[in-house]
Amino acid sequence: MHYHLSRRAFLQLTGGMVGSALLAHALEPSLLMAQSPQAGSGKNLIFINLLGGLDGLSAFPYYEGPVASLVREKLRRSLAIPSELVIPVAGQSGIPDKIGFHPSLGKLAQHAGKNVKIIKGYGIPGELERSHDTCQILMSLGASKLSSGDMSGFMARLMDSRDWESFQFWALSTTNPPDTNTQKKPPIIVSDLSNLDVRSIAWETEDDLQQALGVSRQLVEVHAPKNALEARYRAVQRSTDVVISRVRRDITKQVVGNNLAGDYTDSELGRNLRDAAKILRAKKLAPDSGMGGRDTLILCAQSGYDTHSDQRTTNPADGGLPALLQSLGDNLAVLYRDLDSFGMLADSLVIVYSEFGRTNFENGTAGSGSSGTDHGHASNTLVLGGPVTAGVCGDAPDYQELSDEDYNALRPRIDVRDVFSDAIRWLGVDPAEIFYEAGYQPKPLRLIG
Amino acid sequence: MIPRITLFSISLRVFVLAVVYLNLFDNGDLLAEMRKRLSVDNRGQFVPLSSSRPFFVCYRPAGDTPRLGTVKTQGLKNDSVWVEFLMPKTQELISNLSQRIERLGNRKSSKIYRQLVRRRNALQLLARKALLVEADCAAPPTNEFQGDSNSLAPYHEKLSRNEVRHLLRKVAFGGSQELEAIGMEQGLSALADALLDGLGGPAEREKLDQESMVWARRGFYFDDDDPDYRGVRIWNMEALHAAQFHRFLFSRNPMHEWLMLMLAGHFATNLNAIDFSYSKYGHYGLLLHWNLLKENALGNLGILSKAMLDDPAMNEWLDNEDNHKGSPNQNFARELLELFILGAIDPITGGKNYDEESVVAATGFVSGYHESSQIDPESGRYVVGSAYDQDLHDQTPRTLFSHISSAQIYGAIEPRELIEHVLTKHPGSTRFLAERFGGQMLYPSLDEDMVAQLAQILLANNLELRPFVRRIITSEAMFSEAARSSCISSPIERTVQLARKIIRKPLPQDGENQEKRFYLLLTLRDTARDAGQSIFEPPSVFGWKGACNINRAGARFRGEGWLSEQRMLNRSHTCGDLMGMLAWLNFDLAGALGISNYRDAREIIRTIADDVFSMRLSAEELDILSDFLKTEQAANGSTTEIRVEPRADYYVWRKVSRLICMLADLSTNNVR
Repeated sequence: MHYHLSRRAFLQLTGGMVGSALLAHALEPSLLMAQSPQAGSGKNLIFINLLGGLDGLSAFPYYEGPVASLVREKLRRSLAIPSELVIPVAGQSGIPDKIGFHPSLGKLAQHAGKNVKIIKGYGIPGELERSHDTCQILMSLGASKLSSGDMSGFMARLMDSRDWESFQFWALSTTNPPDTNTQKKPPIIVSDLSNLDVRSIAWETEDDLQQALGVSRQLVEVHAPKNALEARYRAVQRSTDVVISRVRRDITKQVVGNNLAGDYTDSELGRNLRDAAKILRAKKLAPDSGMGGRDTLILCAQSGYDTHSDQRTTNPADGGLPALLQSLGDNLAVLYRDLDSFGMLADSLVIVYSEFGRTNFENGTAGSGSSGTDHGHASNTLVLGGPVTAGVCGDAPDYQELSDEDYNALRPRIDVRDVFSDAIRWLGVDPAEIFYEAGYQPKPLRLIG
Repeated sequence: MIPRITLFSISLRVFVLAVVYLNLFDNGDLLAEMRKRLSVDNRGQFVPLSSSRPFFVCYRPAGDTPRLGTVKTQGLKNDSVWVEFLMPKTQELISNLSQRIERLGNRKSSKIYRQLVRRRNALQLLARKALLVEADCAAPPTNEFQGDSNSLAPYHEKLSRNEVRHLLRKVAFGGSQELEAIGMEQGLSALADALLDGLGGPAEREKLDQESMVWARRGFYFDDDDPDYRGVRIWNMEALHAAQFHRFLFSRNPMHEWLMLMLAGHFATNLNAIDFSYSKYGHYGLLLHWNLLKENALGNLGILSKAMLDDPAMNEWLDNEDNHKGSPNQNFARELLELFILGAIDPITGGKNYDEESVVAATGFVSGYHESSQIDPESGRYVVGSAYDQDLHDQTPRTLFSHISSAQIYGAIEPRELIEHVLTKHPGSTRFLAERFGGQMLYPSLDEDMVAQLAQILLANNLELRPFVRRIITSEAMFSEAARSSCISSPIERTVQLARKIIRKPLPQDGENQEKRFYLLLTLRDTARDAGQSIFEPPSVFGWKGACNINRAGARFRGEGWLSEQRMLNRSHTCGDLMGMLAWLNFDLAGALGISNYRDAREIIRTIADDVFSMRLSAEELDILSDFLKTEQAANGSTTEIRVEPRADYYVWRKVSRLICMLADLSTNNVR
C-alpha cells in the first residue's frame, strides 16, 4: 500500500488535464489510486442528514391506535395528519399503534415502499439536549455527551479505519465539521458536480489557460506553507485539482434520473442525490475512474426542518414541512429507481437522520399560534435500500410520556448509534471500532436483511 | 532669479543621486552582504545579477536604522562600492510635485506639465523600488511580532510595515494605503484612533451612506401587474447587496465594515429564507437589520441585543412574532440565549449556562411581539415592521437560571429586562461574548485568562464595543505569533481585500459605465457566495459555518469550513471574475498597480506581490512567475518568448491579471 505519489509522478498524472488553477495533492484523494479490477462492486452507504430537527410525528405519523387518537385529539389539534391521508407501512399486523408515511412521501412509498423500514423513537441517549448545535455535533460524533477530546465524527473515523483501496468518502454537503474531520485520509467535499468548470480570465485564450494552470501547479508546489493551517489549505488545493479532473472526465457525463419516478429536483437534496447517482454510476461503468471495487460512503443533507412554524399539514404547495418532505420523498424515489436500473440496489443502503425530534404538543392552540413545534428529543425516520425489507423497527411511544406537557418530548428508545452500527456492520466493519464511547455497546437492530 | 523647476532639478539630484562612500559607515557588513548577493569576477569586481536593473541593498550600520541603497551596475570594485541613498525627503518631493501637477490640470499638453509628471513618476518608481528592497532584503526587526499571545497589555507604539499590514488584514479587509501610512509614520495608537474614529469624520460616513444608497435605490423596481403595488418602488435584494459591497470596497474606514460583517454572522438573519407576508416590501427588513448592525458596529452590545427584539427581520426569521401568551414559540428565546447573548457552555468553567426550564421562562419573557407595518420613507408606503403588544406578553411567573445563584430570578419580566438581566447578571454572558468576538479578532481558542480579561473589559465599559476593540487591536496578543495566519479568510474577506488592494479608489457611480460598475459589485457578491459566503444570507442561525472561531458545541474552528474542493475552485474564480469585470470596465490595471513603466518581469512580480499581497516571494517562485510573464504557450505545449509590455492591454489582461490570480490562490494569501 502506498499513500504517496512522487511529485514527478503526480505531475505526470495531472499534466495534460483540464483542471483548476490549483494543484493536486500528492497524498490524496483515493481517486488517484490505481484502478481496481473489480469495477462496479463494493457497497454504497448514503447518509441523508435532515438539518433542523425532523418532526417524526408528522413525517411518519401514527394513523391507527391510541397514540394516533391522542395526537389528533390532544397534542396536535391543528397539525395532526388526518389518518385517511397517511400512507400505511407494510408489516405491522398485530401492532396496535400503526405508523405510516406523510402523504407528501407518496412517491417514495409508491416506488420504494417494499424496501423501506420505519424506525420509531430513535435519538441521542444521555443528557437529552435540545440545542441544534449540541445535538448535531453529538450525532456527528456518535456520542451521548460532549467531551473536550477527539472531534472526529463517526464517518470520519470510518474513513480513517479503511484502506484507500477499499473505501471512498464523498461529502456532497458540509453538514457538521466532525463529519469530515478525518485525521489520515480526507474525504472529497464537492457540493455540485455540474458546477466544476474552470474559467479563463479576461482575455486569456485556451492555450493561455493551459499555461497558467501548469504554472499555478508549480507555484503551489514550491510555495511553503507557514503553519499547519496554511498546510491544510494547500492540501485541499492539491486535492481539488485531481478531483475536478476526474469528476469532469468520469462522473459529470453520467446520465441519471428521468426514470419512472421522474427526475431529481433543483434543490440542495436533489443536487446531492443526483450527484450521488452519478458517482455510483461512474463507479459501475467507468472502470478506470479509480472507484470500482470500493465501498462508497456518501453524505447528503437537506436543510429547513426547524419547523417552529410553517409545519402546516399536508399540502406541499403551501411550503413548510410538506414541501420539504415531498422533496425528500420524490428525490429518494428517483434515486431508488436509478440504483435499481444500475443494478446496484442490492448493494446500496440509505439512512435518513436528523439531530432531534420535536415537541409532542404543537405551539399554540388549534387555529392560532405558529403552526409548528419546538425542539424535542426522539424522532422517527427511515432506512431504504435493496437489503432492507418493508416494515417497522421499534415501539410506539409511551402514552404517559406523550401526554406530559411539561417535559413535552419523547425519550429515545433506540440509540441512534445502533442505527448507524447496523450499516457499518453491513460494510464489514465492527461498529465497536467506530463507536467507542465508554459504556456503549452496539446492539444489532437487524435493519438489513 | 533661478526658475523653480531648476531649483527642483538641483534638489532632486542632491537628494536622490547623492553618492556616498560606503566607508563613511562600517562597510565590512555591506561588503559581506554584497559578496553574498553579487558574483565577483576574476578581476575582483562585483558583477550584478542583472545588467538591466540596478541592484538594491539594505545596509544597517550598527545601532542605526536600515539604509537603502542602489549599487551602481558598472565597474564596481570590492573596495569601492558606491551606493545611492534614497532620502526620506523623496516622499515630500513626490507630494509637492503631485500638488503642482494637480494645479496644472488644465494645461496637460504643456511641456512643464509633462516634465513634472515624468519626474514625479521617476521618483515614485525609485520610492517603490526602495520599499521593495526593504521588504526583500532587510532582516526582520528583532522585535517584530514579539507580543505575548496571552497579554492584553499595550504593544509597542512603533510598528514595522509587516505589523501594520497584519493588523489591517486581521480586522480591516487589508485596510488602505492611507491607513498603512498612518501606522508606519504615526504608530499604533494613531492607527487605532484612525480605525476606531474613522477617517474623515461624520462627513465621510455620510458620504459613504449616500454613495451606497445610490446603488440601493438603483434597484427599485415596479410591479405594475399587481394592483396593490402599481407605481410603487420596491426594494430589490440585489441592489442592497451591491450597496453593501460598495461599502466594503470603498469605505475609508474598513474596520467598521469588517465589524459589521462579524456582527452579521453573530446576529444571523437570512431574509432570503423567510417568508414575509409583506413579501414585496420584505427586503426593507433587510435594510433595517443591516442598518442596526452598521449603527452599532462600534456601539453598545446591550443596545444592539435589545434592538433585535424590534427587528422585523429577526422576528420573522426566528418566529418571535408568533410567540404570544398561550401559544409559545421557543425559537427566538432559545437562540437568544444560546447564540446571541449567553452561549450554551461557559468558556471558563465549562458548565452549562442555562437549562431547559430557563428556555421556557425566556420564551415567556420575550413574548408579545407581532408583525406590524411602518412607513418606508423612500416609497411612502407601508412596509414590514414589528411591534410589541403588552396584551400578547406572557406574564406567568417563571424561574430563570435556577442553578446560577447570581442570576436566578423568579417572576415575570419584560423582554428588554431579560436581555439586560442576562448581560449584566449572568457571569457566563460577557465571557461568551468576549470569547466569541475576541477570538475572531485575535485567534481562536483563547485561553481562560484571556477570556476573563476580555470579559472584564466589556463589563467595565458597560458592554461598549469601542474600548473592547481598541484594547484588542492595540494588545500584545494582536501582535503575537499566535495571531498570525490564525484563520482561513472568509470568502467575503478575501474578495474584498483583493478588490480593495487593486481598485483603491471609488469608481464613479454615474456616467455611461454605471451599469457595468453595478455588475462589478454584484459579481463580487456572486463569487463570494459561490465560495460559501452569501452576504445577508448566512445559512442558519449559527451564522456562516466556516467563520473563524465558530464555536460548535465547545470546539473552536479556524475557518476550515471554507475549505472543500468545490469551495476551493470557486475561491479561485473570485480573482478571475474580478479581473474580467475590470477588463470590461476598461480599468487601468497597470496604472493602478504602478507597473506601467516596468519592463522587467521580476519588478512587476515583486511590486504586485508586495503592494497587493504584502508578501515576499522566494527565488524559485520569482523564477516560475518570471518565466510565465515572459513566455506564451502554444497548443502543443511549446513556449515562445514574448515582450513584457504592461502598457499594452492585451498583455495586462492575459498575463498580469493571471499573475495576480496565481498569487491570490496561494495559501499565504488566504489566511488572516
